[in-house]
Amino acid sequence: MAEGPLGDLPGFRPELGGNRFDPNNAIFVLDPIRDKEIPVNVRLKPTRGQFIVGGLAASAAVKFASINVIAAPKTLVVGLNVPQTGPYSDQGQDQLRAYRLAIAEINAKGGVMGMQIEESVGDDQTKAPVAVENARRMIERDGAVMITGGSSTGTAIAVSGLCQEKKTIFMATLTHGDETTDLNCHYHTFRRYNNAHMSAQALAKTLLAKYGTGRWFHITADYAWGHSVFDNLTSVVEPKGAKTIANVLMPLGTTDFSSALSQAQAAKPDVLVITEFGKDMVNALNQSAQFGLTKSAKILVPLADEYMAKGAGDNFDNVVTTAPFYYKYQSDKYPEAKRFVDAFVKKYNSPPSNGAECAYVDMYQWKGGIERAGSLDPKAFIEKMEGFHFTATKGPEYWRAWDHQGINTVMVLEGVPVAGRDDPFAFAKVLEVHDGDAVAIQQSTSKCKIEDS
Amino acid sequence: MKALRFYALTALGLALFPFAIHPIGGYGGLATQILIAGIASIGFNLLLGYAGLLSYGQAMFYGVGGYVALLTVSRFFPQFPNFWLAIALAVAFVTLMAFVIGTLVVRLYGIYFALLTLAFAQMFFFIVFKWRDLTQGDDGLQGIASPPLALGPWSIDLTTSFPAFDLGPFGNLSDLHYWYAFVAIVMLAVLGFMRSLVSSQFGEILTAIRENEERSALVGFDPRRYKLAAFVIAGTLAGLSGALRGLYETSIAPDALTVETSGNFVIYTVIGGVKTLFGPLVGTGLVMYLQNVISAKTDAWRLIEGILFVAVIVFLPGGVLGTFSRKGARTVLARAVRVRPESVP
Amino acid sequence: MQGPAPLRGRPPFALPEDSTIDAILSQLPGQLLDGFVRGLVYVAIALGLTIVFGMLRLVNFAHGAFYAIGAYVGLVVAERYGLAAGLIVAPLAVALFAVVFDRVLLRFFYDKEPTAQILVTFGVALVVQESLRLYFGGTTRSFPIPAALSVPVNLGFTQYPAYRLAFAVGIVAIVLLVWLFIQYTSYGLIVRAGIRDRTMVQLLGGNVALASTIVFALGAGLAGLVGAAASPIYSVDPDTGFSFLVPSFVVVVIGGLGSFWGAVIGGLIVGELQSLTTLVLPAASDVVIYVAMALVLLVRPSGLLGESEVIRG
Repeated sequence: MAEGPLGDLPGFRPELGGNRFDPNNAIFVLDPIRDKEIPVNVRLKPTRGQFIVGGLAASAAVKFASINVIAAPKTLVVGLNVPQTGPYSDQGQDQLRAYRLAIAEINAKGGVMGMQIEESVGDDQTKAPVAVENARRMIERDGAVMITGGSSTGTAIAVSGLCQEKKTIFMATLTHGDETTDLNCHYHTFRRYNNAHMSAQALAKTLLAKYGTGRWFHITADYAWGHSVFDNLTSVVEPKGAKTIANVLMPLGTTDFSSALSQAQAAKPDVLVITEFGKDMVNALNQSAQFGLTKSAKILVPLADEYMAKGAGDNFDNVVTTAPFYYKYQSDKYPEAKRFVDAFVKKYNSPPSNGAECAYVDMYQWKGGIERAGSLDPKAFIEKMEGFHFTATKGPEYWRAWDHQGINTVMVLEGVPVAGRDDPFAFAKVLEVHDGDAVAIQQSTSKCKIEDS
Repeated sequence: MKALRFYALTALGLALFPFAIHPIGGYGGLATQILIAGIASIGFNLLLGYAGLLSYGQAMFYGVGGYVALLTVSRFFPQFPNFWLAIALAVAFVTLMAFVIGTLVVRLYGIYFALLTLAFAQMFFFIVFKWRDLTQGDDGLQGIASPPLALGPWSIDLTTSFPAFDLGPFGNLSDLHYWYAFVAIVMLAVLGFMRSLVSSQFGEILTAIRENEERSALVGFDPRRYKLAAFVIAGTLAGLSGALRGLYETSIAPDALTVETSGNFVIYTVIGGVKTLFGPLVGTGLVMYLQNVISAKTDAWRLIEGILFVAVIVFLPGGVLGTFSRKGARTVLARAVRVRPESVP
Repeated sequence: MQGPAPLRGRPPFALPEDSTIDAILSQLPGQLLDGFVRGLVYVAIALGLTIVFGMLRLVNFAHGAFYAIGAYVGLVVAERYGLAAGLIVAPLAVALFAVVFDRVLLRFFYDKEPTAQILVTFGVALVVQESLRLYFGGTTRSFPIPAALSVPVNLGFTQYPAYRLAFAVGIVAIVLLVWLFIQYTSYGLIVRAGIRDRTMVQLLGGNVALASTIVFALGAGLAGLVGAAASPIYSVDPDTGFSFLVPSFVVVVIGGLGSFWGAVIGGLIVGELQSLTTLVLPAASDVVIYVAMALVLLVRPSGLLGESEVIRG
């Protein structure tokens, strides 16, 4: 077996270790299918003058296509699993930009423990089965040591389940439903983005002051996230006297909201809550305006980002929303945020949306965790992450140990008209900033029971 | 003797398959997925190839099979998680479902049959989508670990890898999980079953009905009973496939019941070759390879799939496999000369 | 392992507090109007499907693709030259595409069994869908509604978007035009005769081939026109074709495959059925049209207005 270029490595005996591998002994080969270098996914232990290659198409490439093993630089594969198509594609693509910015920066500064990061990208189409299939391919074929991505709580829960089975780190980015770190929390999953509970608690004061306790009409995305937001919002405003008159569920990817809006119009609500995200929210809000509802009711959009506000234009004027990050606000306050926003604008000519910020910080958080652990072993990494305090783009924050939720600030924003924006993305003014601990789910009421390994 | 040779060669082929696709970018998980989906395609072939019934609703059996299997584990009998029970309940439920729907649909022909199966599949899609209390709606059932496979005194965790053994260019034995071995055995059984079924009298009568239904009826065979049997077998195999997929993926979502999924089984079967034993499996493998490996190389993989599909229909109506076998050549000929009854004045 | 998910708050399908008879009645006019407009979209798409079936006895699974091509062509032209230009170019482009498709591929399948016809049109639909995805990308796109039409119109009983009203009026006009064409032109005569008895028309020397092509182009152009006109309302992505194709099947089945007025009535029934179910049992608003479709196929496969001789098609 010791012929060919791989035979140059003396005295190793294999011990196959699933999808883990020891970076110090990794072998890097050119994969003829994907036309790029990939690490061979084995742990090697010194012994007799032999070794066996486990894992990927790599060995085949070496033997068959006689492509040379490249000794350096060593690489680590991370799986970037975001929607590049479908209703949440703006958010997915912006996260991808942020990942790539972070990876380029990290690689330029020597990588993670001396290893260069390499991406394996998948388009999850905001569909859970596709997201799972992508993640499986990234782990099994490409040897990804970490999966990250998001835009929908549906895909996040699904990928989280797979990563738990595969004992692979999952840094969930844009997922706002409680479930990701609540009912469906997993040992290998971390989520830094705010969740629905945090948003609802943060909104409480503004809602009662600005929206009052009249008749509330909800249009809700019919999947985990929408239900999570609806449950949280109603449990905040109903005890104060708000009356929920309807909750119309629309499937993810709905483009025509006329049926729901006709109902809303007849119901004459005081408040219209649009719990939709991405292009769905843009369509819902713009069509609300066409139905005259933006004039007759106050509009609440529980979660929004820069792309959605840009798409809604003037219809976003005066709309209250929440976000974990707003580039205008944080870059004035925190040097790290300013550096990130400037680098992002320089590279891509547009400011980062809040999902992009989360993606960027998550990539650095993963790098930091690996380096503190000094190992790619997920267990060592997780132990170093749990309870870890840090300051990045938005002041002091930390990873909560018992549910792996990132505890950081939640902002309540209010939309401004297009004429009042410095650039098309500068959509809001900041009403309030809430401390993460004050609004997060408490352990006593959480449904999260995290595994031991 | 012939049967023995068939089983020996097929078993050998299935054993070598995951390693054979290794040099061209395949991996253990892909081989497993191909075999699982292949079960449904092989069943569908009985319907489309032999009975001449184009169903656009196979996804309902596939999806419901997956849901029943996972619900058995997580909801119906959570205190008694058993692999066989999950499979058995899924298959039993889907068989019953196929029987009830089958009795209704086999009365129709051609386009009406296709549209009615489509209507039923859409009904099941929306029921699964909207019945959130049971099915978790759009989110699907996620992260439901498959129970170990109880086999006599043993209890096997199918996600375990085989021991390491280097196979040079063909990867390593440890790329494979026990899942593959299990699915390969199921596939062998399904192929064996289908082989004896189509060469039996049943297969011949089914083909005769397809060629000329009135004549078969006159000779004394009730065409509806034979078509119903084919429909139920196809449905059952789709259900088995779905149940295995659910347990393998540890998850299922309503996407499994969409028109797109139904269309996929049509594509797999037609590309591979209708009326051939291995065609549907080959077609499934070919398309899933495009989807999983070539997709990394070019975004045009789906276009390639579409063009391949049209090319097969226009130039190789016997499919990739059918065209290269004598039997398939006859099919091509038969199709080419067959005209619709009403276009003859 | 994941147990049943207990939801916080109320179950998602608890009836809204306002769901009294009064509340439902107050919503009725708005919903009826909305169902009517949505029904008209189905009518316009299904018309092409049904007249092509009537003439060629062929169910065209690529019909949804015509809608999608129309939407994208309309979008591209409209972005450059305005919506009106898009509405003119899109149907012509789609009709041209349909003629090429018919002459190059489809005519070889006229006399094949229905299964082969379904497969080849399904295949072409796939190729079109994926070509669109490759060229335009997979993201949802739409053309903004012209400012003048993006305001609500107060109809007294409800407010409704101006663009949708204009759209509805346009479709009604087009349906009437198509009817006039079929009823009062010599091609229309061949079409009507062809629907009755294709062989007889051939024997009598009618140019069925030309009429078939014209019918095919007309049906496709209609789908393309609706695609372009509807893109500001429904947006468009490469999968749009199939997502409109499936409800159109419901429409033509209910109305009767091959029947002109069947498609019109079927479309309006489907639109209103969805709207009315939304009022009383929202969770069933999608499933109900497929139940209706299955019932019609089982009880009266020729549909409400179809002729029973086509059942063996």
